[in-house]
Amino acid sequence: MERGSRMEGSIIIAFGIFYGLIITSITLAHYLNWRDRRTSQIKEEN
Amino acid sequence: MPTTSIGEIEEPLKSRRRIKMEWKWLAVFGVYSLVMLIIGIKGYDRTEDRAGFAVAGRRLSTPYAVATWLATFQSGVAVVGFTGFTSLYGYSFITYLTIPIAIVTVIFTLLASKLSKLNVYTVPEIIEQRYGDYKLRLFSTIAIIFLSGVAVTIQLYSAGLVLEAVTGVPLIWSIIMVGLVLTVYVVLGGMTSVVKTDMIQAICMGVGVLVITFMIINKVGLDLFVVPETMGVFSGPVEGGWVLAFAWIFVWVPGVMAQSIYLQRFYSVPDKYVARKMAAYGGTLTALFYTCVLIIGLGAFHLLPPGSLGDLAYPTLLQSELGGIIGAVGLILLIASIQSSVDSLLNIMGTYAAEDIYAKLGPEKTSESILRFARFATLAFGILTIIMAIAMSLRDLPLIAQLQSLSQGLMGATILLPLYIGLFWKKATKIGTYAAMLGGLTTTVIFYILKSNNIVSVFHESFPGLIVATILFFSVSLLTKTNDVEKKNFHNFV
Repeated sequence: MERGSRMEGSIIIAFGIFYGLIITSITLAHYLNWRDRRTSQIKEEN
Repeated sequence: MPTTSIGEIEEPLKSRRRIKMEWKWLAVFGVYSLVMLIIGIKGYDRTEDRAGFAVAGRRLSTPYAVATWLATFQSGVAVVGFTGFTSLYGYSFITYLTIPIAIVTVIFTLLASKLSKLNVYTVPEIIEQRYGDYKLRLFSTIAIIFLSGVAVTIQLYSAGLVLEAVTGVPLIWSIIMVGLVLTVYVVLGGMTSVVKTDMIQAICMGVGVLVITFMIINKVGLDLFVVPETMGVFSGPVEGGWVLAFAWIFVWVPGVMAQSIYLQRFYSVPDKYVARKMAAYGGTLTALFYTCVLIIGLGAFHLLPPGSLGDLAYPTLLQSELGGIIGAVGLILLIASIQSSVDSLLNIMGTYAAEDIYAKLGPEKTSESILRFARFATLAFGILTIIMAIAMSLRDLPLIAQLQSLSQGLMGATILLPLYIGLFWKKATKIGTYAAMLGGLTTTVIFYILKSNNIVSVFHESFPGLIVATILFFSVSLLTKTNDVEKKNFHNFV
């Protein structure tokens, strides 16, 4: 297979999936922590 | 990752054994070991009770939690085995291995809150608390201790092989040196010492892998980005594709999720906030580490002759291409990665023997007596695994090497479902758990034997094991009625 052909495209897709999942986990961790902190804050205020 | 066979590096390394002592390499190892011992022994002061030994007093701050997650995730196999794999098959490392690990990272981040709230000392404790049955806990404990022992033995042996090849110290003494250092600090400080040394080991590994990656990029240059035909995203010993990539997810994800060394970290953090950041940032650093491993492997492909690729690639890079200070960094990276997973496994063995077996025998035990027993058991297991690793070096013990490749699959096929589904599904029953564990175990072993004798061709023996365990767990749980104890346990515990 030549350089610049479909193979390089598939490498970019594989890296995209890999780092996409990693970014998802960081986003999830921060979102869930923010949500839970806010919930407990609201509970305390009430 | 503590599993995957290292046997393939054995023969080539044996044939390259040096007789001449390399004092400078030995000095590097000596200084590193001394630092580990001092830090590890300091953990002794902070280990006053069973909680300090088993779960580091549940005091881990975010930086320590992330560092211990990264350090535990890497083993000798991650450095030697994965560099070897990427030197042969390049980018398929991303498809077959790192994507499944990234999926595990997302799942652990989602489950972090639930796992960190359980307030237990061991994984088998969850099984008893949920299903109200000590025999199930005992079965899980024995399985975990046995399989951890196998993993420790093989990693000590492979660490000895590498140390011997680099320093010239005879294999038996190399094994004793690596094994004794970590046994001493785990006996004294348990999880507290493991976490403290993990921080230093993670820094050594991070700096090491970055320095070597930079050197490789510097040496190879733009050629690194030329993709040979044999190194695409589906390359490998067998012809692959997205189906094979998908199949690997079903081997890696359950296999990693069932490992006690990772779960134990969720019990060692103070709350869900730290737990989520540990899983997410620990996973991110692991991803960056694997990206560096990929670059190092690709560099090895360009720099080394074809005969030195595969599992020989990393040791050969260390000796012939890098040398000097960079070679020393590479040696420390390797030893740190091996020790950081072996010390966790040894800690699991001692802690589980004390918490799941000793503490449950006879009259109620005090925290001090459980701690004493945990230290004694860790010492005994440490010496036993060193002896087993030496025995491996004196004569071939193929059974042990085979058992290691089985172990990850076995854990996935036996305790995974009762452990995780039981936390969310209130209809899960004790009888369903027995059926899943025994069915998963038997099926995995049968398929392993059939596969070894070329009677059946199956992708991985844990595959049918997990399918049978899933069917049995759900169907038998639905057919049997949950009793009052199980109902109460689900509401109180989960």
